[in-house]
Amino acid sequence: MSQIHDGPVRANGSPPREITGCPVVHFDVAPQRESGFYWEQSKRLRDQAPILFNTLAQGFWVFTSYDGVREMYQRTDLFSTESVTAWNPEPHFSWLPLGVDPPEHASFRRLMNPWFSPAAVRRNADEQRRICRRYIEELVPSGRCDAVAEFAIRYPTEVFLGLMNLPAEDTEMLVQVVEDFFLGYSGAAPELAGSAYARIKEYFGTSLAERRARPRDPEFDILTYLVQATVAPNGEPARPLTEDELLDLCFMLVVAGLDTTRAQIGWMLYHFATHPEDRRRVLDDPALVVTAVEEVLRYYTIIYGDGRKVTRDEEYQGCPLKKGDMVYGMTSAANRDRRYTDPDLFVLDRKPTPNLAFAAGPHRCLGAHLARSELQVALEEWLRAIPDFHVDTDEPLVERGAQLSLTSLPLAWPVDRTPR
Amino acid sequence: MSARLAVSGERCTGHGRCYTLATTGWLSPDDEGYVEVKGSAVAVPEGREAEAWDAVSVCPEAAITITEDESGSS
Repeated sequence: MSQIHDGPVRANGSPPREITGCPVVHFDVAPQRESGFYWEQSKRLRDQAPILFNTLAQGFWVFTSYDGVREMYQRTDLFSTESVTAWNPEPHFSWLPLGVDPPEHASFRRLMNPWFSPAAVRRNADEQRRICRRYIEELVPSGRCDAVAEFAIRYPTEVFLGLMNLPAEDTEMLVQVVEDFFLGYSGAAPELAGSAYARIKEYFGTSLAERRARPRDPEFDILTYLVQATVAPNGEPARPLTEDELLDLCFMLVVAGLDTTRAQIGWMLYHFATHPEDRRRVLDDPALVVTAVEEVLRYYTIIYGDGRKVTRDEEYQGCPLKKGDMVYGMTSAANRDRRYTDPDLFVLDRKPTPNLAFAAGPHRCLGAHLARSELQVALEEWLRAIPDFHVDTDEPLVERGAQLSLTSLPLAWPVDRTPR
Repeated sequence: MSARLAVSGERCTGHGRCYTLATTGWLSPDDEGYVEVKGSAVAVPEGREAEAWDAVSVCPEAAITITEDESGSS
């Protein structure tokens, strides 16, 4: 990260313009780095200023405080989701409902909420545990694994397919497509994002066509439900969703739901592999799982930041925002705001605090209840089967940027080899 | 004197932290995951005032307020 003060900054296309009201910096958000790099960077930015301007790409404003990031999420009149990628104001992908601002947003969101409500997640809890346990029990005898590739990616993907009433056999295919998409999205292999987008849409296009031809019970089958549902955005008369809307909804579920849980489970296992004292406390008192997961979500915030597009010229906290500017709310910095006691410490039994791991405002993470449940189940089941484990490499671990994720996590544990 | 907990219909977006992390059994979700009292208020059960204040502090939307109701009516 370097300070740049010489000369005007090119922001929001041409002409170059002078940025006033905050420090101007240049920092990366996406390339692969040694693990921990990005959170160290967001701590430094947090300590530097609540608002900065990053000259990366076309240039964008950066909010680092809890209050600033929360306001970015809540004030959809000023901060639009027309683009959610700060370094890409003209997105190639349509996210639904995320990409639609209120009030139209609610008509799409309302369709999805019941499928991911606490009650729906609870109905699915035994299935989550069964799938989770099966993956872990397969790993136990070998005494080692890559916890990312062999567990963290597969478990939530198979849970997702079950919730969508799609075949569990599609797990490997979906794992690969989502990997490709995020390799592309984070800039490691840009050419992969577009083809992954097309493959996800093709997969759901086929599934939706099958539901149209042979409807299932819409009370239990989300795709049949969506095919038959109607929306009335902008007060229009109620109409069915278009094929593009249906595919954008499905695309959003896949890219928002799978890579995130995979990343979070990876960091959670990393924490407990490297902090045996915390591991022992949870083993002694399983009730700590709830606060432990909350603290994992706060401390290891995988959403490095979220982008929004400014809707009008406005002086904001002394900074001259212009219509079309991008803003990057650093969720990872906000969750380590000085408002927390010892923000840079992982406190296993921290009294629950509000945090922005699942964003805020109308676009609050649809899958938050599911993600919490999956994380709790993963921690309980992992510790039950593998109570003692450690990181099994001398090489530094590597993290992918943008949506912070360990690329691999080699773990090892003692195996009981006494003959039975 | 009794306390009432109110949830803003405009601000609540269904994080569920009030009914999962702060309170024990007297707040619950609706079919979409919003707290049922969204857009209205509920009497805080006797002895649960601390939980009510926890609900205020864990809400990421600052959607929850508590009023002390001195007359006993609402």
